[in-house]
Amino acid sequence: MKNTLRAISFFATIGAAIPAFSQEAEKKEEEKPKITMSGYIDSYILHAFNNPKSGTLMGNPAANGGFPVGRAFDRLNDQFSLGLVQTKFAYSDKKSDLVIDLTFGPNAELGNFGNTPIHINGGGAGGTTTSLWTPSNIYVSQLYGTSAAIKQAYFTYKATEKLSFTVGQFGTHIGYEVIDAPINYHYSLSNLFNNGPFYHIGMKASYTFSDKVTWMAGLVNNWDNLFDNNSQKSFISQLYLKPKDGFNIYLNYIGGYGDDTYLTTVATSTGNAYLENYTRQLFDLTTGYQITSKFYLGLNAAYGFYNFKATGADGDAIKAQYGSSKPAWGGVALYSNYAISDVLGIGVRYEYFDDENYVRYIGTKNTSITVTAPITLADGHLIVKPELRLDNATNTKVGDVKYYEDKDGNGTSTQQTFGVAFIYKY
Amino acid sequence: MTNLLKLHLMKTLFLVAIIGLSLQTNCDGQSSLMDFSNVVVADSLSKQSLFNNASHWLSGLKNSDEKTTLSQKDSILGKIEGESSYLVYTQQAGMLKKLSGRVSYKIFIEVKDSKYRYHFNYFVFHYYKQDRFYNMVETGKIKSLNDPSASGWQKLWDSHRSTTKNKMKEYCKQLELKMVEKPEIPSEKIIAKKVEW
Repeated sequence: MKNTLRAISFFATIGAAIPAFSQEAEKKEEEKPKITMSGYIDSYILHAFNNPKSGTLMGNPAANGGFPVGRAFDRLNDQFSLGLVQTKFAYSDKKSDLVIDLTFGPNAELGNFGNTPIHINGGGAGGTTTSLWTPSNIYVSQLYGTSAAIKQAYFTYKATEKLSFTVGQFGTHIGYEVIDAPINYHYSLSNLFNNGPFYHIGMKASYTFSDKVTWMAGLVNNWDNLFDNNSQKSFISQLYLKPKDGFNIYLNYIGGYGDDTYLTTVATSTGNAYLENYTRQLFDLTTGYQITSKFYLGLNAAYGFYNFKATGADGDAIKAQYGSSKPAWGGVALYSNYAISDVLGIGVRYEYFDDENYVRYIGTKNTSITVTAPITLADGHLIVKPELRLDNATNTKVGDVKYYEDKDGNGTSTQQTFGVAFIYKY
Repeated sequence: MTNLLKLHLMKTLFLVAIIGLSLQTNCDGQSSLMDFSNVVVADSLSKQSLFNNASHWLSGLKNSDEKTTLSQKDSILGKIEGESSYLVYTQQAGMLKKLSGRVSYKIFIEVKDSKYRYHFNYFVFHYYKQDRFYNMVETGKIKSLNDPSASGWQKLWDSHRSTTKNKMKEYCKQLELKMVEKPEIPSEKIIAKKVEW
């Protein structure tokens, strides 16, 4: 009997050591460096009820000197269209993270337009003229063609549990929507997204005061551009607040001196380089609140402006072009969605956007309503998004024409589209 | 048969009965309900020893990948209550392993002299999604793990239920082994005596 009890006691002791070992092993497993891979592809087909003659949803070809930008990525009418192909690698250990986010396809080039050869090498005959600042040696700049595939490439060094530093090319902190179709509720992107920054190259530091407050600040070249056109850097900042679980507030800012490499029209017309002498600032509020387990409400509001310092003839030219020496743009978007089930949801986005001064891309005042009913299948891998979008715009200042295009190629104030997007992620 | 032999036989049968009793458990994971409990006889172990063993097991749980918070830990009543949670993934390993959500559950352990009982229940899945900064965050939406169906993501849901069952079966085993640990008897210190020469 004594021996039996001893045996039970022995096995109990050995057994008791197992959980401690098992839990410790689990902990060590969690601390091991990890490499993960993810990505997605998306495609869509849309029909515009205004049947634009050009076959695109961009708008009236007579608007804004021939460059209407009525849509961000979903630009083609009545065509099966490929959006983007993403492959994202991430390495993570206790002290650092590395992200290599590579994208290919039409939307990759649109999202990364500041890194594409046409912008770096120029769109003119023979690629000799430049629409952006580039290195003086054209042969050197041509080497940067593969940069179009880099959506993000950065590392983060976690100096302490609260303080981290990030260096490289990273997605912007500004705005509610992102390039990645699986993350956005609606497939068609807002004007706030399309007229705001997409990415930056630079460095930033982030400090977590508590799980309710985090502050990020950094310096970047500018917006959406591989290169800087001067030695001045733009300052970025984000204050994150979490008043309660499910309620997130982001107060975002970017500002810089002479940081817009796309403002070339006025400089070209006058031959002066006074556009170097200005500042540009953008304030952005992005917030979301999960009101119930099924109902979500989000808000995005942005206000940006230039402040041109030029005087005399240059100042007059700027006022003639933009209506003011401090032309502004901005907008507000309200998002709501309801999860009917794990498979089906419905969401509505209302947006008002004002770029009447044409300092960004759309160059009009536009109101839009988008209704999307995402269907999630295949263990969350496949998302099918039927979507209805209604846009209404005022006449453009440049050209004074109706913004959208009808079946005869003339202007019309509205555009209505219905389409389906297919997104597969892994 | 001598009386001594009879006594040994009775004792053996009694021990087999005790072991048999502890095997009548709801920890085998066979039930479709996510509810794991057992009443265990721990002969010769005091309430205090059992309470200490339960506390040590919970400390180990806290040191693993689980987040555990206790709402009650009363050695006089012999009760420990709390909630714990762990993360579940789209795949268990490899480069495609991604966070899918969090499972929370209630823990209840009660000890008395020579016996104890425990109960793990109220298993709830907390949905996660990727936010616009690519962080996985809770959506606020929840789903009971007792619900066997999940249209649109049945395969993944089954894997979360299976992960939970296996984890809890393991926890039941680990807890029961920990609970029979004998208290350590502190070794006597040798104190040098000063003696007259």
